[in-house]
Amino acid sequence: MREYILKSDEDLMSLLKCDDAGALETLFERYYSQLCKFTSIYLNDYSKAEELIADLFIKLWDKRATIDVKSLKNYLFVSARNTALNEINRVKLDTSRLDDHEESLLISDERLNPFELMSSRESYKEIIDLIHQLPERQKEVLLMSRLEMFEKSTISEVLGITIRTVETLLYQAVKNLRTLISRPNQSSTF
Amino acid sequence: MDKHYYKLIEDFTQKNISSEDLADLMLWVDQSRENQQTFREVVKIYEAADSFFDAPLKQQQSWAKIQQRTNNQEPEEFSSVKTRSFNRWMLIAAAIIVIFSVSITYFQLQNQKTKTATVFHEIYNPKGQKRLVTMPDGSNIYLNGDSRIKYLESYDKGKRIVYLEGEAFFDVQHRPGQPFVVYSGKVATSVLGTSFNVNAYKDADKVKITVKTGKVGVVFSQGKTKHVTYLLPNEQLSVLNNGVSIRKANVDADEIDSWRIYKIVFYDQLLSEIMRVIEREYDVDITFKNQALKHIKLTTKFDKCSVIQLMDMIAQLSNSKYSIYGKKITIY
Repeated sequence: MREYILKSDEDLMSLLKCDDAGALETLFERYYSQLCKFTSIYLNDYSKAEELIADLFIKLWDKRATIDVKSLKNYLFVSARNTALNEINRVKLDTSRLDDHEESLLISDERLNPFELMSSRESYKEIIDLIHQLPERQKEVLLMSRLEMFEKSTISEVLGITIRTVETLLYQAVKNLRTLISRPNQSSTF
Repeated sequence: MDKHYYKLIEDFTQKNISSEDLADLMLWVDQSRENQQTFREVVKIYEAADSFFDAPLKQQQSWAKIQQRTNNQEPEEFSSVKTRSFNRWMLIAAAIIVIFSVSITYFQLQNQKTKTATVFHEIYNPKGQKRLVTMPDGSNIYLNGDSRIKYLESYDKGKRIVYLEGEAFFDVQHRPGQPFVVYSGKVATSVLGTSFNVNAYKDADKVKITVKTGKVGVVFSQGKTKHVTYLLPNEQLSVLNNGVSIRKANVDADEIDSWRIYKIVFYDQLLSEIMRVIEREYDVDITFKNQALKHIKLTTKFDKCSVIQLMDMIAQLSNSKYSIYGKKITIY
């Protein structure tokens, strides 16, 4: 098990094809937490994300004989994204989020600028609520850019856009957020 | 606002900013209040985005669920042949076995978990000794007495991180894209390739960073805000442990690592501080009978002296006397 940690994704894939469950476990250790975080960007629900990602690994095991991908990492994240988007279409779980959002607007109306509440947990929550108001692509890129070991090149491959676009989206996201935060009432002017 | 600085602030919050970019960013932040405001706001946004991922995960449960599948290699073939012969009791028995094996694998997993947990290497160098540690990337760390470094087993993958208690001189191999970061209390010193000294003894009231060659970025936190300062050769930064004040001074860094070769240099230092160095250097205990002596400041140099030669000189300079019994020294 120990030496598996040093193996590349490709080597682990070959071992997986030989029914090696240790290879699956190594891949699981390598990507599980990142994939769950990644999926939660779409679902905003960690336990649902964990459930879907566990299923994703089960699917990887079941399809191990036939699977043929260039980059396993990209395959995992693209699959996670598709699963998450399907899940959103299946259940409209947006209602809870709208409630949160309304709450945050109420707070903002009392002129509590989140930047003034330095570093308090609540102000992070308010900013996160505002992040959910961003156009989908900006939100995706901003949050993905904060995942560990998730380079701009990975974002560009998973979302199928150029690195330049990733950078532009990130820049727009931060710029829009600054506007949203200082003038919360003009929230729909992108 | 310039897109360029958004990018630098992002690198800064990801902790992979180069020394040159850090200098650029700091100059820009210092330029105006507006820039400072922007810097704070953008950092805050990134911190908020980071906090989105803070939730704990139930990784072990998920793996147990997956393992159920990997352990039952051929579920279809098996069931098609045997289903008919299963009666109610056998199903219950099977269920018990499944639950049992799941809990066993769960238990094994926990054991494995402790084995694969992040492994730290730790090196402690006792009082009165010096030690050279060569790191996996070829960087050299000279450890002073009563000092400890810790680093991860994965040290030379990605960012090179070393935790320091005490004093050490770092001679860092340049590696593009792999900054070398020294954490000492609230202060992080980040470089790409250079040589510098960090003095962060726990009994001292401050952390001192002195640069001999190259450029060094120092990040320290004050409450939850982070401050960045940038040092050039012969500059010394002192950060008080209470995190409230910092001081930048010009020093002669040529001598800063002289302790490596048993030279001791004191530059305008309090006698109380000097005695703490001597305690470590010679593994002795020193007490002051006359407290006023503690506040005398001295500048002096010693080259491979015995503790008696050294105490003689200090007594002469500070106009005091001392007695020595075994490892105990009293100044009066």
